[in-house]
Amino acid sequence: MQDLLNIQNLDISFPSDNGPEQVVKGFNLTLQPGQIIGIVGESGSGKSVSVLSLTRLISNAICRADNMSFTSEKGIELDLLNSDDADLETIRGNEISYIFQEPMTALHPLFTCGQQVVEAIVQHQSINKTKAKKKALDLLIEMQLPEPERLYKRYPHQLSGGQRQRVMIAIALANNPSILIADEPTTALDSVLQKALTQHMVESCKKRNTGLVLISHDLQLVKDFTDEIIVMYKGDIIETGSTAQVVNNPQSVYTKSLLQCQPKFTNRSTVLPTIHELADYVDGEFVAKPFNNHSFTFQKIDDAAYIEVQNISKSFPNGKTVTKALTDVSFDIHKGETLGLIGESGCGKSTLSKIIIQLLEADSGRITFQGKPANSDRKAFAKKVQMIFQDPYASLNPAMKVGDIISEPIRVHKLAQGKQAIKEKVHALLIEVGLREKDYAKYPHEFSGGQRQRVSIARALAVEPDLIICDESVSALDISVQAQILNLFNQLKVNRQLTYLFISHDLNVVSYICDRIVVMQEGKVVELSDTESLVENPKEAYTKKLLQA
Amino acid sequence: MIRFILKKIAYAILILFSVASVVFWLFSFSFPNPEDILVTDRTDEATLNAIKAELKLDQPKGEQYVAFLNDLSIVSIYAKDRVVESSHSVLFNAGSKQVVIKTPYLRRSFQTGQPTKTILADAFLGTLVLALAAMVFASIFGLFFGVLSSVKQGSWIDRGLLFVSTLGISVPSFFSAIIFSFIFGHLWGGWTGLNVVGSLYEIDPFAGKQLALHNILLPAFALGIRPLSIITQLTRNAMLDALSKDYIRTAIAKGLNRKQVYFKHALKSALNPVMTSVSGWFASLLAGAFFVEKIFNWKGIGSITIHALETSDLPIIMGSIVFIAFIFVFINFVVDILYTVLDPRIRLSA
Repeated sequence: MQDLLNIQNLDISFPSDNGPEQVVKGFNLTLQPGQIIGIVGESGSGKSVSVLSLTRLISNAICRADNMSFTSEKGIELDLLNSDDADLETIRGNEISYIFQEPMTALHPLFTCGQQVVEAIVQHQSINKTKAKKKALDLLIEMQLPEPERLYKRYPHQLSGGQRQRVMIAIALANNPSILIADEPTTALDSVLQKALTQHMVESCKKRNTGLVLISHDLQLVKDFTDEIIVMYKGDIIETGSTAQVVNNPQSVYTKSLLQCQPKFTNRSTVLPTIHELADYVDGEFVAKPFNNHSFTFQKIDDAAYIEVQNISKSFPNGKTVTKALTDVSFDIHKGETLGLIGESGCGKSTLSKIIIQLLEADSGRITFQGKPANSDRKAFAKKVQMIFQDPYASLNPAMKVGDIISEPIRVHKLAQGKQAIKEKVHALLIEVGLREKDYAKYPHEFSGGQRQRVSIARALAVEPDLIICDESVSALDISVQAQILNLFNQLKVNRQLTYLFISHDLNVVSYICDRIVVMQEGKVVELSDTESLVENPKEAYTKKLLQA
Repeated sequence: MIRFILKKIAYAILILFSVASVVFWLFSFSFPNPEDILVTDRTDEATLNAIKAELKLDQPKGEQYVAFLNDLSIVSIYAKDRVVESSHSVLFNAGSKQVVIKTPYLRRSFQTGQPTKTILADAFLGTLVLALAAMVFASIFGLFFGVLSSVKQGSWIDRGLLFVSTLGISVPSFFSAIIFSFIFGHLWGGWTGLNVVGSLYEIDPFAGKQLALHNILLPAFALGIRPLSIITQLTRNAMLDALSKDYIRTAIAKGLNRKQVYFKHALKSALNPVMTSVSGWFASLLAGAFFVEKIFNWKGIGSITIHALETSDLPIIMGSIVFIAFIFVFINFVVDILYTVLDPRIRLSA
């Protein structure tokens, strides 16, 4: 069969002040009609750059290749490297389509969903408006969107993340392209949606005999759908092979390490290896090194409840109607445990965490703290209960130095007197979370995502709390970095006798780190039990569905 | 949507009420005896008392305040024979009083005895035409230069436009007005055919009142320079901001060409901040361009207000302040409605 794409030895570099900076080295890819290839790698591995530059979507990238050609099924041939903008415009969205990571920002906010699909159709097909409208509507129906006629006239902000991504797929497939490139299409969605949406996308491509390139940092997701997998690291292809071979019998040390980093129920309370503990990266090659498997020893969990959540209900006015966010939610948190809170987005997890730390007031029910109402002494409560948020990029003030961010709570709660004492305390905290003393004077933008989350942890630890609420704190991180942060959480739990309320949509992470798990659905507690029985013997249908995802 | 509009109208009324109150008390303290302004050497006691009675100056300040608000209000209560506005319709009678619906009554000029409203309406036409001309000029060229600048980002065109527009922002309008008037009206007046000063209408000794549209060129240009410069820079920044968004990449990935990406996708998002600026400028120009109107002797709200200040013509001053407040409130109201049309995301949160 004729290859749709044939890329041989592609190098990509970006201009910088110190000359061109190479981000992709010797990238190869061949794709046939109907074939599904996965590209897996951490952030900065060059996986997105290599495919986005196929149609020159990254304007300042400098490409060089031995061969970079596209041949459509109809026999149209194009040298992607040397073609001009006009040629590429006829290919983009017509023969090679894209789906991007962020459904929240990838659609134009001022056009209706229908208009955006129609625009893609009329750009490449010479048909009249009525026919294009009909076609767009058919696509929305095919994407299994609810009430397609109504949705056609709605704006992106009125849709959920999953729905927006389905509209995005409709746009991408509007002209029955030869190739669909999906760049982390489901990363921003929660796990139940991830699988269903990827499944739907794969089926739609199969139906059209469209070749699919699926890019993700999540090997677990990709392995279920692809024929072939390419593993990348820092611009190099580390491993290529059939999916079965890469997952079951990985040849490269890096791929093996990546699989070992994955937190899951079976390796709970062990220290997760990180890639750099499993292998050294020398001259573009990974060399395995011995890793000593060991476990954490945690202190005993208190019998008495530290925090009691009692019959909490909360609703929000929504125009004329009222949306019930929480209905009669009750559970206890014991000192020394890690309690997991799991559910899909919109199930009320975040609302509940805000009510617990008193950022929101419940309509009814109460929170007690060591037997007393939590709102009786807010300052004492704030000193004992701290929160770490999901997005390490947005939750740190970009205008403040890291040292000032961490020392602010120390000054507010008067935990140390004098400049020198405060500085020493911050230094100790930085060391404790795995940063360096000299990071004191840096600004948040100088750190990577994982390092920023360490800063957030140091900020939370500054007041010496008993309980830390982690709201999706590792969701935005690469698998290896996620392992590091999870290890840090467990190490701090051992050293400081901490208690965690761990909120996440990722069952792998929750079942790795938690002692007990609360499953929430539509603002209600569906199931609450210890991790073993929940994973091995789930009682509720909803929990089973979550476990399968 | 209707609730949103009603809410905005309620706010508008509240703001106008506050402005009217502040204006009344401010002037009643700074001019405790306004009748003194009217008194000349020949005025006798009887005339003075008649004037006082007409303006209710013989009554306590509190009652003067109520009468002032009653005059301003659209729905007001008057004794049957004392309705101030000739064109009114009676809603219902209540004993010797009647509740009427009328246009706001702004009293009469101390100097000419003409109704304030007539004077303001006359002047407003001049201001409106001038403001419209200045803003149309500034918006069209500002958008054009802004888009050009963003498309050619970093080129000499972009840098040149940035330099010139920064200069334009820094030059005060009274300065540029004098320069333009001097150069184009005086030095090159014979060649350009423009006057140093002049209004929308000229009184010709033979032909009477005549439209003199050429007189608008210089003041409109002088007034438009700053908004033009600001709109240019704002459009440029809003375009660059829009072009960096993810949905622009989506548009390119759809296969749209550069023109479609710039004008259909980026410009649509960029228009919102630009409209805020345009409407703000338009509102403040409608309030009268005091210096420019004065320098070009253009008859408008600004020049008659300055004249009223020089002659302590209280009803005109107070009337024009309330009128200017009304213009601001009205423009903001229209812009709020326009926003919901331009940006669907605002519709829900309103």
